[in-house]
Amino acid sequence: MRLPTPVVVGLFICGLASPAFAQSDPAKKPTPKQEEFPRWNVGATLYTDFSAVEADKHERDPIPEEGITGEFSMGATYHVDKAFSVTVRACVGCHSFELESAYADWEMSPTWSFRAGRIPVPFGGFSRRTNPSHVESATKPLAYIMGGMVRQDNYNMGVVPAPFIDNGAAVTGTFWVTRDTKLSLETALVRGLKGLSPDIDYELSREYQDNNGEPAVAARLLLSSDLYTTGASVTWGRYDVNAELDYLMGSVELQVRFGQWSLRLEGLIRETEFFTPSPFAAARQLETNRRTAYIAQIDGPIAEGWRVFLLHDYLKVEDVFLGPTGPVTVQTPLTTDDSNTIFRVAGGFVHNVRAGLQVKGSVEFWDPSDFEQAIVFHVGVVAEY
Amino acid sequence: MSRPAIPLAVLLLVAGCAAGSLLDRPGADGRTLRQEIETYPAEHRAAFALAERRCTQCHTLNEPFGAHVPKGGWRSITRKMAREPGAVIPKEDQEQIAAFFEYFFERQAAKEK
Repeated sequence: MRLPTPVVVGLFICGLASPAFAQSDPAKKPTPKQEEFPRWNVGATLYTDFSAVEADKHERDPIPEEGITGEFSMGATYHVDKAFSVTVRACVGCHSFELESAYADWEMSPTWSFRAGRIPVPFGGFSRRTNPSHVESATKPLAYIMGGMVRQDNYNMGVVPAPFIDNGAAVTGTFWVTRDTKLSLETALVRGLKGLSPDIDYELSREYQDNNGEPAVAARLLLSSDLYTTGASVTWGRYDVNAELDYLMGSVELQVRFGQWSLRLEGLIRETEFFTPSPFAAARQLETNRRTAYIAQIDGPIAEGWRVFLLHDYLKVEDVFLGPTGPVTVQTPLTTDDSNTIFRVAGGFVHNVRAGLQVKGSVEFWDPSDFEQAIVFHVGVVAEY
Repeated sequence: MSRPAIPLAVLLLVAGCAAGSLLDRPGADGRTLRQEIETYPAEHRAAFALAERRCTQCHTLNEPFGAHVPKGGWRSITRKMAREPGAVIPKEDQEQIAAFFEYFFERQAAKEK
Protein backbone atom coordinates (compact mmCIF):
# COMPACT_ATOMS: atom_id res chain seq x y z
CA MET A 1 0.00 0.00 0.00
CA ARG A 2 1.35 3.42 -0.84
CA LEU A 3 0.35 6.26 1.48
CA PRO A 4 -0.48 9.62 -0.14
CA THR A 5 2.31 12.23 0.10
CA PRO A 6 0.43 14.55 2.52
CA VAL A 7 -0.05 11.65 4.94
CA VAL A 8 3.61 10.67 4.79
CA VAL A 9 4.75 14.26 5.34
CA GLY A 10 2.25 14.74 8.19
CA LEU A 11 3.37 11.56 9.93
CA PHE A 12 6.99 12.59 9.51
CA ILE A 13 6.39 15.98 11.13
CA CYS A 14 4.34 14.44 13.96
CA GLY A 15 7.08 11.91 14.52
CA LEU A 16 9.63 14.67 14.77
CA ALA A 17 7.44 16.69 17.09
CA SER A 18 6.49 13.92 19.50
CA PRO A 19 9.67 14.04 21.63
CA ALA A 20 9.00 17.74 22.15
CA PHE A 21 5.85 16.88 24.06
CA ALA A 22 7.71 14.29 26.08
CA GLN A 23 10.25 16.97 26.86
CA SER A 24 7.61 19.16 28.48
CA ASP A 25 6.98 16.45 31.10
CA PRO A 26 7.36 18.25 34.42
CA ALA A 27 9.06 15.19 35.92
CA LYS A 28 12.06 15.82 33.69
CA LYS A 29 12.99 19.32 34.76
CA PRO A 30 16.32 20.39 33.28
CA THR A 31 18.56 22.55 35.38
CA PRO A 32 17.99 26.18 34.45
CA LYS A 33 20.69 27.76 32.27
CA GLN A 34 22.23 24.36 31.62
CA GLU A 35 22.15 23.37 27.99
CA GLU A 36 20.91 19.88 27.34
CA PHE A 37 20.86 17.84 24.18
CA PRO A 38 19.10 16.58 22.24
CA ARG A 39 16.56 19.40 22.28
CA TRP A 40 13.43 20.19 20.25
CA ASN A 41 11.77 23.37 19.15
CA VAL A 42 8.42 23.21 17.42
CA GLY A 43 6.74 26.09 15.62
CA ALA A 44 3.70 26.70 13.49
CA THR A 45 2.23 29.61 11.58
CA LEU A 46 -1.32 30.05 10.34
CA TYR A 47 -2.13 32.94 8.05
CA THR A 48 -5.55 33.75 6.65
CA ASP A 49 -5.92 36.66 4.25
CA PHE A 50 -9.13 38.33 3.10
CA SER A 51 -8.71 40.30 -0.11
CA ALA A 52 -11.06 42.35 -2.24
CA VAL A 53 -10.34 44.01 -5.57
CA GLU A 54 -11.64 47.30 -6.86
CA ALA A 55 -11.28 47.36 -10.65
CA ASP A 56 -13.24 48.16 -13.79
CA LYS A 57 -16.14 45.78 -14.34
CA HIS A 58 -14.77 44.25 -17.53
CA GLU A 59 -11.48 43.72 -15.73
CA ARG A 60 -12.94 41.74 -12.83
CA ASP A 61 -10.85 39.04 -11.26
CA PRO A 62 -7.44 40.31 -12.31
CA ILE A 63 -6.17 38.26 -9.35
CA PRO A 64 -7.05 34.57 -9.67
CA GLU A 65 -7.21 33.96 -5.91
CA GLU A 66 -9.22 37.01 -4.81
CA GLY A 67 -11.23 36.25 -1.69
CA ILE A 68 -10.13 34.21 1.28
CA THR A 69 -6.78 32.50 1.08
CA GLY A 70 -4.62 30.88 3.68
CA GLU A 71 -1.24 29.35 4.27
CA PHE A 72 -0.46 27.09 7.15
CA SER A 73 2.90 25.67 8.10
CA MET A 74 4.42 23.65 10.89
CA GLY A 75 7.99 22.79 11.56
CA ALA A 76 10.45 21.49 14.07
CA THR A 77 14.14 21.87 14.75
CA TYR A 78 15.98 19.06 16.45
CA HIS A 79 19.19 20.22 18.11
CA VAL A 80 21.26 17.05 18.18
CA ASP A 81 24.09 18.81 19.96
CA LYS A 82 25.67 22.24 20.10
CA ALA A 83 26.89 22.07 16.53
CA PHE A 84 24.33 19.97 14.69
CA SER A 85 20.62 20.44 14.09
CA VAL A 86 17.94 19.23 11.73
CA THR A 87 15.05 21.45 10.61
CA VAL A 88 11.90 20.32 8.84
CA ARG A 89 9.02 22.58 7.86
CA ALA A 90 5.92 21.56 5.92
CA CYS A 91 3.21 23.81 4.55
CA VAL A 92 -0.13 23.79 2.84
CA GLY A 93 -2.07 26.61 1.28
CA CYS A 94 -0.55 28.19 -1.79
CA HIS A 95 -0.07 24.77 -3.33
CA SER A 96 -0.52 21.20 -2.14
CA PHE A 97 0.75 19.86 1.16
CA GLU A 98 4.53 19.72 0.82
CA LEU A 99 7.89 20.11 2.46
CA GLU A 100 8.79 23.78 2.52
CA SER A 101 12.26 23.01 3.76
CA ALA A 102 14.15 20.12 5.28
CA TYR A 103 17.83 20.44 6.03
CA ALA A 104 20.65 19.65 8.37
CA ASP A 105 22.90 22.38 9.77
CA TRP A 106 26.41 21.60 10.90
CA GLU A 107 28.49 24.32 12.53
CA MET A 108 31.87 23.02 11.45
CA SER A 109 33.77 25.82 13.22
CA PRO A 110 32.98 29.26 14.63
CA THR A 111 33.49 30.56 11.09
CA TRP A 112 32.07 27.91 8.79
CA SER A 113 28.66 26.25 8.61
CA PHE A 114 27.42 23.54 6.29
CA ARG A 115 23.80 23.04 5.32
CA ALA A 116 22.32 20.30 3.13
CA GLY A 117 18.86 19.16 2.11
CA ARG A 118 15.95 21.18 0.81
CA ILE A 119 17.47 24.55 1.63
CA PRO A 120 16.75 28.26 1.20
CA VAL A 121 18.91 29.39 -1.73
CA PRO A 122 21.20 32.24 -0.67
CA PHE A 123 19.85 34.93 -2.95
CA GLY A 124 18.24 38.30 -2.32
CA GLY A 125 17.29 40.39 0.67
CA PHE A 126 13.55 39.74 0.76
CA SER A 127 13.75 36.08 -0.20
CA ARG A 128 13.89 34.90 3.42
CA ARG A 129 11.27 37.32 4.67
CA THR A 130 8.53 34.90 3.76
CA ASN A 131 7.04 34.01 7.13
CA PRO A 132 3.77 36.00 7.31
CA SER A 133 4.57 37.03 10.88
CA HIS A 134 7.84 38.64 9.75
CA VAL A 135 6.47 40.42 6.70
CA GLU A 136 4.43 43.59 6.89
CA SER A 137 2.66 43.46 3.52
CA ALA A 138 -0.05 40.95 2.61
CA THR A 139 1.60 40.11 -0.69
CA LYS A 140 5.30 39.78 -1.37
CA PRO A 141 7.25 42.49 -3.19
CA LEU A 142 6.80 42.31 -6.98
CA ALA A 143 10.23 40.80 -7.59
CA TYR A 144 9.30 37.89 -5.30
CA ILE A 145 5.55 37.76 -5.74
CA MET A 146 3.92 34.33 -5.77
CA GLY A 147 0.21 34.99 -5.26
CA GLY A 148 -2.14 37.93 -5.15
CA MET A 149 -0.50 39.46 -8.23
CA VAL A 150 -2.64 41.51 -10.56
CA ARG A 151 -2.36 39.93 -14.02
CA GLN A 152 -0.11 37.17 -12.76
CA ASP A 153 -1.15 34.86 -15.61
CA ASN A 154 0.15 37.38 -18.15
CA TYR A 155 3.34 38.34 -16.35
CA ASN A 156 4.22 34.86 -15.06
CA MET A 157 5.11 36.23 -11.61
CA GLY A 158 8.15 38.36 -10.78
CA VAL A 159 11.88 37.72 -10.91
CA VAL A 160 12.56 34.99 -8.35
CA PRO A 161 10.31 32.59 -6.42
CA ALA A 162 9.81 33.09 -2.69
CA PRO A 163 10.54 31.21 -0.61
CA PHE A 164 13.43 30.32 -2.91
CA ILE A 165 13.90 26.72 -1.83
CA ASP A 166 15.87 24.09 -3.67
CA ASN A 167 17.61 20.77 -3.13
CA GLY A 168 21.32 21.12 -2.56
CA ALA A 169 24.03 22.13 -0.15
CA ALA A 170 25.41 25.41 1.13
CA VAL A 171 28.53 26.57 2.94
CA THR A 172 28.40 29.79 4.93
CA GLY A 173 31.35 31.73 6.29
CA THR A 174 30.92 34.26 9.08
CA PHE A 175 33.68 36.80 9.64
CA TRP A 176 33.57 39.43 12.38
CA VAL A 177 35.09 42.63 11.04
CA THR A 178 34.57 44.48 14.32
CA ARG A 179 32.58 43.55 17.42
CA ASP A 180 29.43 44.99 15.79
CA THR A 181 30.09 44.32 12.12
CA LYS A 182 29.76 40.95 10.47
CA LEU A 183 30.61 39.77 6.97
CA SER A 184 28.76 36.68 5.74
CA LEU A 185 29.50 34.72 2.61
CA GLU A 186 26.98 32.12 1.57
CA THR A 187 27.60 29.78 -1.36
CA ALA A 188 25.37 27.01 -2.60
CA LEU A 189 25.15 24.29 -5.19
CA VAL A 190 21.51 23.49 -5.94
CA ARG A 191 19.38 21.72 -8.50
CA GLY A 192 18.25 24.94 -10.21
CA LEU A 193 15.05 26.46 -11.53
CA LYS A 194 13.06 24.71 -14.24
CA GLY A 195 10.94 25.76 -17.14
CA LEU A 196 10.13 25.61 -20.82
CA SER A 197 11.30 28.18 -23.36
CA PRO A 198 10.69 31.14 -23.19
CA ASP A 199 10.44 31.39 -19.39
CA ILE A 200 10.97 29.77 -16.01
CA ASP A 201 8.02 27.88 -14.55
CA TYR A 202 7.70 28.21 -10.78
CA GLU A 203 5.40 25.21 -10.46
CA LEU A 204 7.81 22.92 -12.30
CA SER A 205 10.64 24.37 -10.22
CA ARG A 206 8.92 23.22 -7.00
CA GLU A 207 9.08 19.57 -7.98
CA TYR A 208 11.61 17.54 -6.06
CA GLN A 209 13.53 15.88 -8.91
CA ASP A 210 16.10 17.47 -11.22
CA ASN A 211 15.20 18.01 -14.89
CA ASN A 212 18.58 18.32 -16.57
CA GLY A 213 21.24 16.99 -14.23
CA GLU A 214 23.14 20.29 -14.27
CA PRO A 215 23.49 22.06 -10.93
CA ALA A 216 23.00 25.77 -10.42
CA VAL A 217 25.26 27.93 -8.29
CA ALA A 218 24.34 30.74 -5.93
CA ALA A 219 26.26 33.11 -3.69
CA ARG A 220 25.41 35.98 -1.38
CA LEU A 221 27.80 38.37 0.33
CA LEU A 222 26.41 40.40 3.20
CA LEU A 223 27.87 43.05 5.47
CA SER A 224 25.81 43.70 8.59
CA SER A 225 26.01 46.01 11.56
CA ASP A 226 23.54 47.49 14.01
CA LEU A 227 22.72 50.30 11.62
CA TYR A 228 22.74 48.67 8.22
CA THR A 229 22.84 45.48 6.21
CA THR A 230 24.10 45.58 2.66
CA GLY A 231 25.04 42.94 0.15
CA ALA A 232 24.84 41.37 -3.26
CA SER A 233 23.74 38.01 -4.59
CA VAL A 234 24.07 36.11 -7.81
CA THR A 235 22.78 32.80 -9.11
CA TRP A 236 23.25 31.03 -12.42
CA GLY A 237 21.83 27.84 -13.86
CA ARG A 238 20.15 26.14 -16.81
CA TYR A 239 16.42 25.65 -16.71
CA ASP A 240 15.41 23.47 -19.65
CA VAL A 241 15.51 19.69 -19.98
CA ASN A 242 18.34 19.76 -22.53
CA ALA A 243 20.44 22.18 -20.44
CA GLU A 244 20.73 24.63 -23.34
CA LEU A 245 19.06 27.69 -21.82
CA ASP A 246 20.72 29.76 -19.09
CA TYR A 247 19.28 32.04 -16.48
CA LEU A 248 21.36 34.56 -14.57
CA MET A 249 20.02 36.55 -11.65
CA GLY A 250 21.56 39.28 -9.56
CA SER A 251 20.47 41.33 -6.59
CA VAL A 252 21.83 44.23 -4.57
CA GLU A 253 20.29 45.08 -1.21
CA LEU A 254 20.51 47.68 1.50
CA GLN A 255 18.66 47.88 4.79
CA VAL A 256 19.19 50.90 7.00
CA ARG A 257 17.82 51.01 10.55
CA PHE A 258 16.82 54.21 12.30
CA GLY A 259 16.02 52.97 15.78
CA GLN A 260 13.16 50.54 15.24
CA TRP A 261 12.40 51.90 11.77
CA SER A 262 13.82 50.17 8.73
CA LEU A 263 14.38 51.35 5.18
CA ARG A 264 14.73 48.36 2.88
CA LEU A 265 15.95 48.75 -0.69
CA GLU A 266 16.65 46.08 -3.25
CA GLY A 267 17.25 45.90 -6.98
CA LEU A 268 17.05 42.67 -8.98
CA ILE A 269 17.62 41.48 -12.50
CA ARG A 270 17.12 38.20 -14.31
CA GLU A 271 18.24 37.38 -17.83
CA THR A 272 16.63 34.28 -19.31
CA GLU A 273 17.63 32.71 -22.58
CA PHE A 274 14.97 31.33 -24.91
CA PHE A 275 14.53 30.01 -28.44
CA THR A 276 12.60 32.02 -31.00
CA PRO A 277 10.24 31.51 -32.72
CA SER A 278 10.05 28.17 -30.89
CA PRO A 279 12.40 25.48 -29.53
CA PHE A 280 11.15 23.12 -32.27
CA ALA A 281 11.68 25.44 -35.25
CA ALA A 282 14.40 24.42 -37.69
CA ALA A 283 15.77 27.98 -37.85
CA ARG A 284 15.46 28.73 -34.16
CA GLN A 285 17.57 31.46 -32.66
CA LEU A 286 18.80 31.99 -29.15
CA GLU A 287 17.66 35.23 -27.52
CA THR A 288 17.44 36.67 -24.03
CA ASN A 289 14.58 38.30 -22.17
CA ARG A 290 15.16 40.51 -19.17
CA ARG A 291 13.26 41.15 -15.94
CA THR A 292 14.27 44.01 -13.70
CA ALA A 293 12.68 45.08 -10.46
CA TYR A 294 13.24 47.30 -7.49
CA ILE A 295 11.75 47.43 -4.01
CA ALA A 296 11.66 50.29 -1.52
CA GLN A 297 9.97 49.83 1.82
CA ILE A 298 9.94 51.76 5.05
CA ASP A 299 8.43 50.19 8.16
CA GLY A 300 8.41 50.78 11.87
CA PRO A 301 6.35 51.18 15.03
CA ILE A 302 3.99 54.09 15.58
CA ALA A 303 2.72 52.90 18.94
CA GLU A 304 3.27 49.94 21.24
CA GLY A 305 2.08 46.90 19.30
CA TRP A 306 1.46 48.79 16.07
CA ARG A 307 3.73 48.83 13.04
CA VAL A 308 3.08 50.55 9.74
CA PHE A 309 4.71 50.20 6.35
CA LEU A 310 4.87 51.91 2.99
CA LEU A 311 6.04 49.83 0.06
CA HIS A 312 6.79 50.88 -3.49
CA ASP A 313 7.93 48.34 -6.01
CA TYR A 314 8.31 48.07 -9.76
CA LEU A 315 8.72 45.29 -12.30
CA LYS A 316 9.75 45.47 -15.94
CA VAL A 317 9.57 42.56 -18.39
CA GLU A 318 11.35 43.13 -21.70
CA ASP A 319 12.02 41.34 -24.98
CA VAL A 320 9.10 38.96 -24.68
CA PHE A 321 5.36 39.42 -25.36
CA LEU A 322 2.76 38.82 -22.66
CA GLY A 323 -0.10 36.58 -23.72
CA PRO A 324 -3.16 35.42 -21.75
CA THR A 325 -1.24 32.45 -20.36
CA GLY A 326 2.18 34.03 -20.00
CA PRO A 327 5.16 35.26 -21.99
CA VAL A 328 5.42 34.22 -25.65
CA THR A 329 8.03 34.85 -28.33
CA VAL A 330 5.75 36.05 -31.15
CA GLN A 331 3.44 39.04 -31.03
CA THR A 332 -0.24 38.42 -31.84
CA PRO A 333 -3.44 40.47 -31.39
CA LEU A 334 -3.82 38.80 -27.98
CA THR A 335 -0.42 39.84 -26.67
CA THR A 336 1.11 43.04 -25.43
CA ASP A 337 4.23 44.63 -26.89
CA ASP A 338 7.67 43.52 -25.73
CA SER A 339 8.15 46.04 -22.92
CA ASN A 340 5.82 45.72 -19.94
CA THR A 341 5.88 47.22 -16.48
CA ILE A 342 3.98 47.21 -13.21
CA PHE A 343 4.14 50.12 -10.79
CA ARG A 344 2.75 49.48 -7.32
CA VAL A 345 2.34 51.38 -4.06
CA ALA A 346 1.10 49.67 -0.90
CA GLY A 347 0.64 50.77 2.67
CA GLY A 348 -0.78 49.29 5.81
CA PHE A 349 -0.37 48.21 9.40
CA VAL A 350 0.52 45.21 11.52
CA HIS A 351 -1.03 45.03 14.98
CA ASN A 352 0.19 42.58 17.61
CA VAL A 353 -2.96 41.65 19.43
CA ARG A 354 -1.19 39.38 21.86
CA ALA A 355 1.72 36.97 21.89
CA GLY A 356 1.50 34.90 18.72
CA LEU A 357 -1.41 36.78 17.16
CA GLN A 358 -1.26 39.58 14.61
CA VAL A 359 -3.82 41.42 12.52
CA LYS A 360 -2.55 42.92 9.27
CA GLY A 361 -4.29 45.34 6.96
CA SER A 362 -3.15 46.98 3.74
CA VAL A 363 -4.20 48.71 0.56
CA GLU A 364 -2.36 48.20 -2.73
CA PHE A 365 -2.55 50.35 -5.85
CA TRP A 366 -1.53 48.46 -8.99
CA ASP A 367 -0.72 50.12 -12.30
CA PRO A 368 0.27 47.60 -15.02
CA SER A 369 1.40 49.20 -18.28
CA ASP A 370 -0.90 47.29 -20.63
CA PHE A 371 -3.83 46.46 -18.36
CA GLU A 372 -6.35 48.28 -16.19
CA GLN A 373 -5.33 49.71 -12.84
CA ALA A 374 -6.62 48.00 -9.71
CA ILE A 375 -6.85 48.66 -5.98
CA VAL A 376 -6.64 45.66 -3.69
CA PHE A 377 -7.63 45.60 -0.02
CA HIS A 378 -6.22 43.02 2.37
CA VAL A 379 -6.97 42.10 5.97
CA GLY A 380 -5.17 39.12 7.43
CA VAL A 381 -4.78 37.23 10.68
CA VAL A 382 -1.49 35.58 11.58
CA ALA A 383 -1.32 33.11 14.44
CA GLU A 384 2.04 31.71 15.43
CA TYR A 385 3.19 29.11 17.90
CA MET B 1 -15.21 44.94 -4.29
CA SER B 2 -16.37 41.58 -2.95
CA ARG B 3 -19.15 42.49 -0.51
CA PRO B 4 -18.67 39.65 2.05
CA ALA B 5 -15.07 40.69 2.60
CA ILE B 6 -15.98 44.13 3.92
CA PRO B 7 -17.82 43.17 7.16
CA LEU B 8 -15.24 40.48 7.83
CA ALA B 9 -12.43 42.97 7.42
CA VAL B 10 -14.12 45.52 9.68
CA LEU B 11 -14.83 42.87 12.34
CA LEU B 12 -11.22 41.73 12.39
CA LEU B 13 -9.94 45.26 12.48
CA VAL B 14 -12.16 46.17 15.43
CA ALA B 15 -11.20 42.98 17.26
CA GLY B 16 -7.55 43.71 16.66
CA CYS B 17 -7.79 47.30 17.82
CA ALA B 18 -9.76 46.42 20.94
CA ALA B 19 -7.09 44.11 22.25
CA GLY B 20 -3.85 45.13 23.93
CA SER B 21 -0.29 44.46 22.83
CA LEU B 22 2.29 42.10 24.24
CA LEU B 23 4.96 44.13 26.03
CA ASP B 24 2.45 46.84 26.90
CA ARG B 25 -0.38 44.60 28.06
CA PRO B 26 -1.17 44.64 31.79
CA GLY B 27 -0.91 41.24 33.42
CA ALA B 28 -2.83 39.87 36.40
CA ASP B 29 -0.86 42.14 38.73
CA GLY B 30 -1.70 45.21 36.64
CA ARG B 31 1.84 45.68 35.36
CA THR B 32 2.94 45.46 31.75
CA LEU B 33 5.80 43.17 30.81
CA ARG B 34 7.99 46.18 30.22
CA GLN B 35 7.21 47.52 33.69
CA GLU B 36 7.91 44.14 35.18
CA ILE B 37 11.28 43.89 33.40
CA GLU B 38 12.21 47.26 34.88
CA THR B 39 12.13 45.59 38.31
CA TYR B 40 14.61 42.89 37.26
CA PRO B 41 18.27 42.92 38.35
CA ALA B 42 20.47 45.29 36.38
CA GLU B 43 22.13 42.51 34.39
CA HIS B 44 18.77 41.32 33.06
CA ARG B 45 17.56 44.84 32.33
CA ALA B 46 20.73 45.37 30.32
CA ALA B 47 20.20 42.05 28.54
CA PHE B 48 16.63 43.06 27.64
CA ALA B 49 18.00 46.26 26.09
CA LEU B 50 20.45 44.10 24.15
CA ALA B 51 17.61 41.88 22.93
CA GLU B 52 15.71 44.96 21.77
CA ARG B 53 18.79 46.09 19.87
CA ARG B 54 20.00 42.79 18.43
CA CYS B 55 16.88 40.68 17.83
CA THR B 56 14.76 43.38 16.20
CA GLN B 57 17.13 43.54 13.24
CA CYS B 58 15.24 40.53 11.89
CA HIS B 59 11.95 40.25 13.84
CA THR B 60 9.92 41.94 16.55
CA LEU B 61 10.25 41.00 20.22
CA ASN B 62 6.78 39.48 20.18
CA GLU B 63 8.29 36.36 18.74
CA PRO B 64 10.63 35.46 21.60
CA PHE B 65 8.14 36.66 24.22
CA GLY B 66 5.44 34.56 22.59
CA ALA B 67 7.63 31.51 22.00
CA HIS B 68 7.25 28.17 23.75
CA VAL B 69 10.81 27.16 24.50
CA PRO B 70 11.62 24.45 27.05
CA LYS B 71 13.86 25.43 29.95
CA GLY B 72 17.49 25.65 28.95
CA GLY B 73 16.61 26.01 25.27
CA TRP B 74 17.40 29.67 24.73
CA ARG B 75 21.13 29.22 24.21
CA SER B 76 20.57 26.91 21.26
CA ILE B 77 18.08 29.32 19.75
CA THR B 78 20.12 32.49 20.13
CA ARG B 79 23.22 30.72 18.84
CA LYS B 80 21.33 29.45 15.78
CA MET B 81 19.83 32.89 15.16
CA ALA B 82 23.24 34.52 15.49
CA ARG B 83 24.57 32.31 12.69
CA GLU B 84 22.02 33.72 10.28
CA PRO B 85 23.60 36.07 7.75
CA GLY B 86 22.45 39.58 8.60
CA ALA B 87 22.11 38.90 12.32
CA VAL B 88 24.69 40.78 14.38
CA ILE B 89 24.76 39.10 17.79
CA PRO B 90 28.27 38.71 19.22
CA LYS B 91 28.90 35.64 21.36
CA GLU B 92 28.83 37.47 24.70
CA ASP B 93 25.52 39.11 23.75
CA GLN B 94 24.08 35.71 22.82
CA GLU B 95 24.78 34.46 26.34
CA GLN B 96 23.22 37.50 27.98
CA ILE B 97 20.12 37.43 25.81
CA ALA B 98 19.64 33.71 26.38
CA ALA B 99 20.07 34.17 30.13
CA PHE B 100 17.50 36.98 30.12
CA PHE B 101 14.85 34.88 28.41
CA GLU B 102 15.55 31.92 30.69
CA TYR B 103 15.10 34.22 33.68
CA PHE B 104 11.99 35.86 32.24
CA PHE B 105 10.19 32.58 31.54
CA GLU B 106 11.24 31.12 34.90
CA ARG B 107 9.63 34.14 36.55
CA GLN B 108 6.49 33.76 34.45
CA ALA B 109 6.24 30.06 35.30
CA ALA B 110 6.71 30.84 39.00
CA LYS B 111 3.97 33.49 38.83
CA GLU B 112 1.57 31.03 37.24
CA LYS B 113 2.09 28.62 40.14
